Amino acid sequence: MNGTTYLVLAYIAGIGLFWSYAAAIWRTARSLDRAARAAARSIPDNRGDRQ
Amino acid sequence: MTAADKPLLPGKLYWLATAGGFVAAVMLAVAWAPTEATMGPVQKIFYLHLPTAINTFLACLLVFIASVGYLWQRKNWWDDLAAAGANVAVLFCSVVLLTGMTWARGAWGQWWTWSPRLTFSLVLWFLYTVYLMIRASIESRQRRAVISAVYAIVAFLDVPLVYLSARLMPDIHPASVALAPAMRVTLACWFVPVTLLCAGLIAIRFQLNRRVSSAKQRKDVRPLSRPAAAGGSL
Amino acid sequence: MSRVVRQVLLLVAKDLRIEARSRQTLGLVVILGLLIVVVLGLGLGAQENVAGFSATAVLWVAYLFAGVLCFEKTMAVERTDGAMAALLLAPIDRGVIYAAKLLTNLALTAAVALVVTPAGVLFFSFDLSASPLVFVLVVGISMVGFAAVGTLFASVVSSSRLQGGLLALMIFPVSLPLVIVSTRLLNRIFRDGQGLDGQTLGILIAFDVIFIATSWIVFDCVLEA
Repeated sequence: MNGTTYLVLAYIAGIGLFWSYAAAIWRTARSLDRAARAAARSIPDNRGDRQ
Repeated sequence: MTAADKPLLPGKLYWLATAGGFVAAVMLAVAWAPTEATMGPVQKIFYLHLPTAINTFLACLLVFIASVGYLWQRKNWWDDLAAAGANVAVLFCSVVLLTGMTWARGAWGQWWTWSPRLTFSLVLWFLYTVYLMIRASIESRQRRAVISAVYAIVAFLDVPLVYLSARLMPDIHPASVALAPAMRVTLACWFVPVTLLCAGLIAIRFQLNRRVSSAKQRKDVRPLSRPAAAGGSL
Repeated sequence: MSRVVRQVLLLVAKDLRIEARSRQTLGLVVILGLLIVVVLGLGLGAQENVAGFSATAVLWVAYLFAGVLCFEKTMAVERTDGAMAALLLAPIDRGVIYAAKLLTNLALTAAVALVVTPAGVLFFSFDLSASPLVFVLVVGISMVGFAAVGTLFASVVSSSRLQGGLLALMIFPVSLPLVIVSTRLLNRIFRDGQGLDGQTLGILIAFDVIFIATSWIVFDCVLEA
């Protein structure tokens, strides 16, 4: 393992972690949005007799 | 209508620019920046390491400010901001540790030494990881916010103490390299994408926290409306 | 001014009296401290000549764990019978409550140290003859900073519903600078045979001042029944 290998390792690890984290947040936000939209659709009408 | 309909800020352009910045920075470091005589190419880890370290500190500062803000105004968004800052701080601190250790391994053959810099990074990592652990172990919204805020304030004021005490550790490999002008330019170029990334990550994490909070609030509120619906019109 | 001192001493006396009557915490914590010393001694190979100066590390571990338990108990005392509410209604400054709790904690940890330290010295053949007073001084000063932060954190984490170990989790990383500096001071004297480094001692004292000031101020902002 020479110097350049370590350099590449460090860059990939660091930058990779950064962007994985961003991707994870986007993914979570998307699924939250989906859940929220589904929930909004399924809230029963307040005029209860209409089912 | 709901917060879910608003897209996460910042938008695509920001992230594309940041990604582009990284590509440019890496190319600059690898192809243009001069290789340091004694340490070789490993020294170029520094271009990632230092901006990340500075941003870690800025994120920690944000956690401190947000915690003070929460204790002062007791508004939940301060707490969500503090949590976002801490999340990103731990992420960035992890990168600082990993790059620091890789640098140590590449330059001096050891993955770990109790040098001032590595010791400081490690303790900082623990300080803010504990913050996240605290948040994870408290259910009640308000208690979690208060306890985390108190801890964050003390933890941040502890940072200079950690720095001072770490400086007492034996430093066999003083790594302050005299920077050639080309190195300085490269370093400056690295600061841009890393800082943009840090700010952007905090922003989207914050928005995510806000959405989770409001989703939880909606869940708590809804059961109240159902009896009314079942009982006919109001 | 003297009224404040009197209030503080009153509160401390109350806490110590409660502790003396029940006698549970101190006994438990002392035994725990001793056990930690023994575990580490055995873990280090139970050799005849374990480096004497590793006693500092061993003692620190024992103090940290024992101290955390003391801090928890001192605050828990106020949970029974609505004592905390009564305390807050009394016409005393919250800073006085903090000072009293801090002193109580210091008294308890000092009592623990009084038993555990000789045990450490015994089991590790730690040679304190170089400067026993300096040892006491350095450990004492470090304890003050440790107790300052511990008192604050214990006051906010004062609920049995919270997960165990939370207090230790909070105190340990924050206290690391104290561990680092005091260990360095003591090693310089007992391992390297050099004198007391005034500058480093000054740093340790400065740490204490920062810890006490910060904890005092934040305590004032967050104490609730």
